[in-house]
Formats: sequence, structure tokens, C-alpha cells
Amino acid sequence: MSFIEFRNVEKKYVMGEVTINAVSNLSFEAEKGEFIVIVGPSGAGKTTLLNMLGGMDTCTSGEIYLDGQKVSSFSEKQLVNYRRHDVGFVFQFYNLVQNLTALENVELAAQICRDPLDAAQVLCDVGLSERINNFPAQLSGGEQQRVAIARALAKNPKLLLCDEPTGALDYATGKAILELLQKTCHETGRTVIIITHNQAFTAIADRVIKLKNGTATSVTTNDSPLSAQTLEW
Amino acid sequence: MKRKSFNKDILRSILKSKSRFIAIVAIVALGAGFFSGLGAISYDMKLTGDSYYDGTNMMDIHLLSPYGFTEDDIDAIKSADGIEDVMAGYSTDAVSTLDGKDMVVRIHSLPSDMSEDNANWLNRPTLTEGRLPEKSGECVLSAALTGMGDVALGDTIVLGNEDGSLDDAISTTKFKVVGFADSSYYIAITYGTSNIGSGTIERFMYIPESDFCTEVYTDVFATVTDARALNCFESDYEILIDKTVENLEDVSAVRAPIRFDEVKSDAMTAIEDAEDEYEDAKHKAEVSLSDALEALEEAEDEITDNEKLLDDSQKRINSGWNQYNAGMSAYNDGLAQYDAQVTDYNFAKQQYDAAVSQLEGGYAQYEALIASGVSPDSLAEMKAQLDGTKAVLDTQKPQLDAYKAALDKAKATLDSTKQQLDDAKTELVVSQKKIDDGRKELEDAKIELADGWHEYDEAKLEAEQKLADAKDEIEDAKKSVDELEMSEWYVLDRNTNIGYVSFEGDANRMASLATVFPVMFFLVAALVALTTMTRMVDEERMTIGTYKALGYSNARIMSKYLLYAFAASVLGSVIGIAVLMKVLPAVVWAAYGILYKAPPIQMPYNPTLVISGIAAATACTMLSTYFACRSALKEQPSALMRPRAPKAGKRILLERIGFIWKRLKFSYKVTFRNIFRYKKRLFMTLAGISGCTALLLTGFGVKDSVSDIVHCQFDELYKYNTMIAIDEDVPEDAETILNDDSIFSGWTVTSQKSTEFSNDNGLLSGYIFIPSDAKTIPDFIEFVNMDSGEAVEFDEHSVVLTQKASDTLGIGVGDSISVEVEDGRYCDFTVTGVTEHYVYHYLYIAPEVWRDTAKLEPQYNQVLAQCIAEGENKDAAADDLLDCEGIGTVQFTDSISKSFDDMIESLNYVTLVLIVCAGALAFVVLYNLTNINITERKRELATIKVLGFYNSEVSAYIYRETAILTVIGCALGLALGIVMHSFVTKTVEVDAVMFGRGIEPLSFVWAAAMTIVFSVIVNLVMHKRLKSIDMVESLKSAE
Repeated sequence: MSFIEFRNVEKKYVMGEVTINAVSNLSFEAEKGEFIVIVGPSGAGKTTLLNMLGGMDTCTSGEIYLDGQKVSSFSEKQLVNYRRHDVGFVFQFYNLVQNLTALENVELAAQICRDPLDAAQVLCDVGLSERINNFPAQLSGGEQQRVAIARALAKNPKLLLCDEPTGALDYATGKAILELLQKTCHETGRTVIIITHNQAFTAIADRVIKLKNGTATSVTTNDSPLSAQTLEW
Repeated sequence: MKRKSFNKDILRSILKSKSRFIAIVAIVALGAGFFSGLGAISYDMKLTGDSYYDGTNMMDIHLLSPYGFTEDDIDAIKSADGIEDVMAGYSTDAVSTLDGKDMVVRIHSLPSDMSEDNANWLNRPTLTEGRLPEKSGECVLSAALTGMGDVALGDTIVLGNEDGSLDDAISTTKFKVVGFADSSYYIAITYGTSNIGSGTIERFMYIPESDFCTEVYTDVFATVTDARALNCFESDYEILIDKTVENLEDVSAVRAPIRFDEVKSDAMTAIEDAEDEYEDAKHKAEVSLSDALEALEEAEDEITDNEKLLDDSQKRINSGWNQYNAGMSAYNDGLAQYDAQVTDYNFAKQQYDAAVSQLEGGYAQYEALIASGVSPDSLAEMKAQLDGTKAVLDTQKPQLDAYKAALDKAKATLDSTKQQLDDAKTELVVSQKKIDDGRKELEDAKIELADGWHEYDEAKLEAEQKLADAKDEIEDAKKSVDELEMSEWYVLDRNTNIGYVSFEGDANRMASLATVFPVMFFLVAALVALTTMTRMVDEERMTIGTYKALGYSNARIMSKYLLYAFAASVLGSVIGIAVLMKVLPAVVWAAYGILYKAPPIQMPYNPTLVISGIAAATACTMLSTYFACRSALKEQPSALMRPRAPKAGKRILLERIGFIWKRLKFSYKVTFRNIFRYKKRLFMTLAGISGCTALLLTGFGVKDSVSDIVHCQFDELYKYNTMIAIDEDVPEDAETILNDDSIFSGWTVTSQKSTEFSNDNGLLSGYIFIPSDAKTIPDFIEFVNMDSGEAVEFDEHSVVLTQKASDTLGIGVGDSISVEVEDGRYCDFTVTGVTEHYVYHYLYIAPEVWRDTAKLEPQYNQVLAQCIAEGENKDAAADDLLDCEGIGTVQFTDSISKSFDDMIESLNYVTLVLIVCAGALAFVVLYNLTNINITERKRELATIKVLGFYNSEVSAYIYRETAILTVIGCALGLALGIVMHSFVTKTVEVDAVMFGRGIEPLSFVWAAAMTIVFSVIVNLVMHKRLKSIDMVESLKSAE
């Protein structure tokens, strides 16, 4: 069994009298330690996929596995634990707690985990050793996103889920963040999933999953991914 | 049509954000409701009072004069400017034993014409039962107050006065109760003071005018033209009345001297009459005395004469006796002579007889010899001899017979003398008896005469005394006439009616309460509106930006939020006012119902209060809204359409205190930073929570203060527990009972008298209390300084005033207080101490000081005792004491404290109102705050949920803040509550009673605990909302 497996996953939203099929018949697999890019246009079901994989939402039917656990049949409580220990989340808008310093934001996540990494060390690793005591408002967007990545990493998760991590960043900064993510993946062997609408990112991925209209149109592996440094878009 | 879409947007904004809208509606409802509701209490009370007064033709002006009013006076009053209706009547005070207790009853007259349309019938009683009197000897009595026993319809009550002065006032003293009534003249349950009995009027009654026998009217009541249309608690009314009072004073200036002269000349005439009478009496007394004297002297003369006569008679008798004795001895001599003569005669007779017989013998011998033959010659010699002898003898015989005849004659004479003498003797004995009787009679007469003299002396003395007394009386009367002082009428308005004054006082107290509480509610409402609207504007930044981009003007955009706020505040204030303007006055009136006998409160929606309530509330929220929108509208549309930079995190002051900060758990660091991050919300929460705690503490505190009164006064300050009313001295049999160690542990005699205290700052009714022994009185009453808690010395120089009187009049130690020591005489005393005291005002004066200053002897009238017996023994002791002559009543303080408890029960309503308000405030504020807190931080909360926080951890993340704020708010609220409590107690307390100033520790606990409970409940409700936060929020961009 693969590290990540989606089998005929379906997600329906019932809104009044209308039923929306956000995701239907979605199946794919991915392996541990891969740098995965999920790409698709607006409305392709990216966020729904992310929600289900991240344990923030359940699927209507089908099965989802992560590292052998059947996430799709988790109870709510199990889902919380899953989010707590197994998944690290990087948001488009960083979602840092404004009231906490960089270090504290990392600690906020780290303190609830079984086996966290050292918060300060992680911040050093993402290149913020100088700014660990600054508040988010005192940091640039890229720096904030680094803090967010550090926060996700500090939990020592099995999976790093990144939702449009460069979406709110300028080109250069976005590129730097991608570099950081790719480096993290390759150096620590941690599985990283990036969800984006930007087709260009597929070039740096180990595995590319293309979504369209709520289903995976193609799952391809890339044997020689580019370094993020060389990426242009 | 042009703005249809815009208006729809407003409507949808409301519908979409129900909880926000409801929050504003609720807080505005509370604020406006309290403002108008509390404000309405005073207004409604005054309205109710005024219409009660108008409906019962309550007098506006009450005239009194020491010399009464004549018909001419009444006419003059009637024609005075501004006077509408006039009722002249009578009143007097009497004592009656009702419910086994001597009560002072004030009696008023009812006019003869008691028809509804007699406009001149003022101060009409309102019958609660029965009917009005129809004939003499019937009365209407004031309805019984709580704690009074029963007088039933049809009972007869007997009135009396110790000094009998009642007979001068009313012609009958027995009255049948035909009805019970309330009276607007006595709207409060305290009826005022009297100069008789206990000094406190306990009931009032109305009797027909015809049952009064006073010559002149004692009271004149009048109404003022146009006064009825005004509310008598407003200044317009006062101005109108003052003007009329001045008019009447002018009338008085004319009429009073006339009446005075009349009274004076009447008095002078009476004195002259009395003087004439005196002279008459004097003359009569003199005449009758001199007659008596004459008679006595005559009797004395007669006795002397008679004595003389008796003496004369005696003398005569004595000489009679002498004569008699002389006669007797003469007689005896005669008798002896006669007896000797008889003896002589008898001897001579014997000799003669012997001679005769010898002769006869000789003749016989001669015969015999002749016979024998002897010659007669021889015998001639012998015969011769014999014949010679015979011749001798024959001559002797007549001599003897003559002698005998003489003797017989002497004997007869002697016998008649004897007879005469015996007669004389008898006569003498009779006369002597007569004289003896006469003497006895004379002795009696003498005794009688002595008595007569005694009587005479007494009568004379008596007459002199009486005359002297009469003379004195006349002199006194003359003096008092000379002392008669011209007095103008007393023209009194309603401000001297104790019911009116205390009613107005209470209404004004409610008005001042109404100015403080709503301010707090409005403050909180403004804060709630400000934070809520700020939040709304923040949420709608994009929309605002879009409107701006579409070309809407700032004013137009702002109008959306203003309209939103307007709708919420108008709806809220209408609901709040509609409900609370009915509920609050009703609740407070229910509490005051115990103190006032008045019809049900009228609760109209007073337009001024309604409009000002709505206006104030609306202005409050609209202003907040304006401030909330202003800053947003200043920004450029493009800036508005970008998400607003989240409020930057900052280091807080606490972090500088390293040793605390480092020790804090991570989660608390976040909490503290969050608390201080949103200053507005922090302020609002603290205001809300502390307001809630303060209200609760005030509520509980008021209850403490009130129950303190009874506890402190009767259990702590009064060490005695028994009060025994005595007439003068303690009777001996009562003393025996009081000295019984098994019943009473101690007792002392005191004097207590109702009076008035005053200084430049005002006037108070209170009691002067004079102990018989200044040294021991602290054993019965504790004198203690309220601030320091130290004992206040009481010795023979002490004058101690009670705290409330000291506060009210502003009299401290060393200041002087003026006291009415007897009718119309005032003395100044220097206060040497102020003591803690809760019920009524007292001035404790050492007897030595009283004698020195007032120049009066204390009139001891009560015994204070400490009864240690309990239950049956106690009751038995009371009964035994009551059986003693000269003991009025025996009262145990526990019965008084119980009746106080009942009265104070009413204030529990106030407490309840405060607690309910506090709860409502706490819910609205905490709910709204937590609501905003959650919406504002939805993304943050969603993020930490995504990070894998359990629901409980997410809740705790928020609750920690609420908990800390609740604790801080509680602490602030307790401090604020102390201030508010002292304000409220000072505001709501009645004049005669001082509320406790302290709050029980338990009340602090309760207030804090209830606040925490409210906060916990709100948070429990919020837990559900936290759980329902969608994690997907975290993926969205900040709005």
C-alpha cells in the first residue's frame, strides 16, 4: 500500500435543494518522501481534497489512507489527533497568531505534539534565526510564511500540506519559499504536498496530480524534477 | 426606487446578523428601559399622589391660630385672593385604649354637608369599609396598620384624656365605629406627633362636626384656585401656593389682632366677673361668719346668765336649808321641852293619881271604920283630914287638866311645825335637783359652745383660704391675660403635612436613584454599541470599499450603519421602555405600599420620559456608530478592499517583569497578550462585568444594611430587652419583680420624650432621652463611635447625639443643638459625643446637664430592663408587672424588631430588581463580548483547530481570557459596588432610620460568585459556537 491513497473518493455538499459534487471518483496514490504538486483550475476540487486529506473534512464516500491509517473512517476525535500529530499545515495567508512572536507561533503548534522538534532550531532551519522574537506584523510576507512552515515542521508531521503557499507572495519570495519546501522535502525525507493553480510548479514536483472538475485527470511522476531555484513563471 | 438595492442591503444586514442586532437591541432595551423606568417611578408616584390629593379635595393650605377662628375670620379667608374653597373645622387629640394599648388618636371633624358636590368639603377620607357617620356618637376610624389588633365595625371606642381637657373639646366621648377609612391627609403610615400620651399619633378618626363643642374653629383648610390643575410636587405649584400664603398672611395681619383683642377682652370680662364673684363671695363669707360669731357670743352670754341664776337659786336653797335646819333644831328643842313637860305632867299626874287612890283608900278605911262601927266622930278628924286632902286634890285637878291642855296644844303646834319643816325639806330637795339638772344642761351648752367656736374658727380659716385661692386665681388670670401675646395665624402649606413630605422625599429619592443607575447602563450600552458596530464595519470593509468605488458618498454609506443602529436602538428602547416603565414602578410601589396608604400607582407612558429614553439610547448608539464608521470611511476604496492588516501583536507591560512572565505558562502568555490587545473590548468587558458585580453587591449590600438595622440596634446597641412604661415612680410591687435575680439582671429608670431638634441646617423629630443615672446607662445602651469603633464616654456632663441626626444636621462633637424642652421653649445643648444608632433620632442627656440647662426635672416615664427569663417565665413576668398599679405597658424589644423586620421586607424587592438587572446586564455584555471575540478571531480559532487543538483546548483558549477578565472585573466591581452601595443606602434610606453602612463578607462572596456563574453560563452557551467554527475559515483570506 502506498503512503497516501485516495480510492474513489466522493464529496458532496448539500446546499439547500442543490447538491454540489465537489469531488467525485477521485483516486490517486503517492509515496512517502515525495514532493507532490496538486494542480488544477478554480473549482477543480483542490481545496476539498486538501480538507479531506488534512482531516478538516470527511468524504461522502470512498476511502482515504495515510501511512496505513484509514483517515476516511476516523471519528471526529481521531481527526483532531490526526491533525495534531500527523499533518502540518501551511496556509496561503500564513494564519499566524498575530499576538505571538515567531518563536511562540512555532511553540503554539509544537507544545501539543508528542515528539516536536525544537522550535528555535526549526526557525533557524527556515532561515529566521534573527527574527525569532519578532511579532508577525514586524515580518515580511515571506518571513511570515517561513514562520508558518516552521510551525508546521515543528510538529514533526508525517505530511506537510501547503495550500497555495506562494499565493500571497511576490515572485522572488514565492520562489524562495518553494525552495525551502523542496529542500525540506529532500533533506528530511518528509512528504510535502503543495496545492496550487500554478501549472509551472509541476516542473519541480516528484509527482504531479492534475485535477479537473473534481477528479484526477492525471497522476504523473517526474523522475528529474527541476530545482525550485531554476524555476521561472 | 433609486435606493432600493441599498435599502435591501440594510435589511439583509440585519437579517444576516441576528445575534449582533439582538445584542444591540438588548443592551439598548436595558439602558433605555432603566432610564425611563426608574425615571418614571418618581413621576408616577408624584402623579399618583397628586391625583389622590385632587380626588379627595386635599387642602392646599392649613391655617392654625392659637385663638381659633370666628365666622368673620372664615369670611375673610374665603374672600382672600386665590382662595377657592374653605372648610373650617375642629380637631383635637385624645387617648383611647385600643388593642389593650393606650393610643393617641387625632380627631377631625366632618362637615355637616357631606354630599359629593360640596366643594367646601376638604380632606375627604376614603372609606375602605362601612359608611360615614350620620349622627352624633358615630365615627370613622383609620384602617388598622400592620401589627395592630382589631377594632371591628360596630365596636364602641371610649376616648379620654388624663387632664380632662377633652370635655372642653367634644361633647361625647363614646363613639361607635361605623366605618374605616384612609385619608389623603395621612398618606404615610406615620401620622405625626401629639402633646399627649405617648406623643405619637397612632390613629386618626373623623366624627361629625356637631360633636365638637369648641366655640371657635380650630382648623381652617383651604384650596387654592388653579392649584388642582398643577402637580403638587412641582415648583409651579409651590410658587402658586406661596403667593396665596402671602395673601393669607395679609388677611391674618388684619384679622388676627381683632381676634386677639376679642380673646383678651373676653378674658378681661371673665376676670372682672370673677372679681365680682370674689367680692360677693367674700362679703357673703364675712356676713355668715359674723352671724355665726354673734350667735356664739349670745350663747355664751346666756350660759353666763343661767349660771348666775343657778348660783342664786343654790344660794337660796342653801339658806332654805339653813332655815330648815334652824327650824328643825327649834322644833327639836320644843319637842324636848314638850317631852320634859310631858314627863313633868305625867309625874304630877302620877302623884295626883297616887294621891287620889290614897284618898280613896283613906275614904275606904273611913268607910270601913264607920262600917266597923267606929264612931263617925272619932272618925271625924279622920274625915276632916280626908276631906281636906280631897279639897286639895280637887283644886289640883283643873290645874293638871289645864296643864294637859296646854301640853296638847304645844304638841299640836310642834306637829304642825314638823309638818312645815318636812314640806320645806321636800321643796328644797326638788329645787336642788332642778339646780343640778340646770348645771348639767349648762355644762352641755358649754361644750356645744366650744364646738361652735372650733367650727367657727375652721370655717373662718377655710373661707379665708378659699378667698385667697380665688384671689390668686384671679391674679394668675390677670397675669396670663397680660402675658397673652398677639399671634398671627399659622399659614401652613402641604410641606407641613408629614405624609406629603415623606412621600415627596421618597419620590425624590427614587428620582436621584434614577439619575445614577441609567448612566451606568448607558455607558455600557454605548460601549457595546461601539464595539459591535466597529466589528460590523470591519467585517464590511469590502462592501464599504465597493460602495465607495461605485460612487456612493460617505454620508450615504454611513447612513447604512446609522440606520442599522437606529433600527436596533429604536426597537430596543421601545421594547425596554414598554416593559420596564410598567415593571419598575410597579415593583417599587409594591415595596412602598407598606409605608403609604394610597391608591394603586398610575403608570402612564410619560411622553417626555419615553421620548428622552428613546432619544438618549438612540443618540448613544448612533454616536458610537458614527465613531466606528468614521475611520473606515476615511480610507481609500482600494485600501478598504484589501484585507485590513491584522492588529499587530505587541509586547505587554507584564513581559518586562521577567520573573513573572517567565513563570507563566505559554497559554497564559497568549491570553494576557490577547487581553491587552483589544483595549476597547477589554474596557467594555470590565465595565460590563464590574457593573454586574457592583449591582449584585449593591443589591446584597442593601439587604445587609437593612437587616443590619434590626440586628445592630436591638441586639448590639440596646443591651436591654424590655421597656416598661411607668406613670411616675416604680411601684413597690413592680420593684420586687424587677429585683428578682432570676427574671431581670438589671434595670434603670429613664425619661423619654418626643421632641424636635434643630440647628441652622434644619429640623428633625426625635426623642430626648434622660437616664436617671448617667453612670450606669452604658450598661443598658452602648455608646460607640461609628468610625473608630471606640466607646463614647457617658457621664454626668454628657450630651450624646445619634449618628443619623448628626449627619443630617451636620452637628459634630462640640457643636450646639437646639431642643424644644417643653412646649415652645428651646434650649441649646452642646454635643459631647456622637453614637452609632439606627432607628429614630435620640439625644441622650445626662440628668445633671438637663437640670442645669433646661431648668426642669426629668419626667421619668420608662424603665429599661434586661430580662433573662425566657418563654413562659418571661410572659408571666410581663403579666405580673402589668398587674402593678402605675405600670403602663411592658414591651420586649424582640417584638419591635420583628415588626421592623416586616417593614423592611419590602426592600427585598429592590434587592431583587437589582439582582435581575445585574444578571441581565451581565448576560448581554458577556454574550456580546464573547460573540465579538469569537467572530473577530474566527480565523485564528480555525487555524488552531487545524493545528490539532481539541475542542476543549480551543474553548479554553478563549475562556482563559474571559476568566481573567471576569476575575479582574469582579474585583473592580466589588470596589465599585462599595461606592454604589453607600450611595444607594444614603439615597433610599428613610429619614428616621439609618441603614447599616457595612456589607457582610458573605455578600461579597455571593456577588462575585453570581457574576462568575453568569459568566460561566455565557461561556457554556458559547462553547457550542466554538465547536461549530468551520476550519475552512482558515483557508480564506482575511476579510
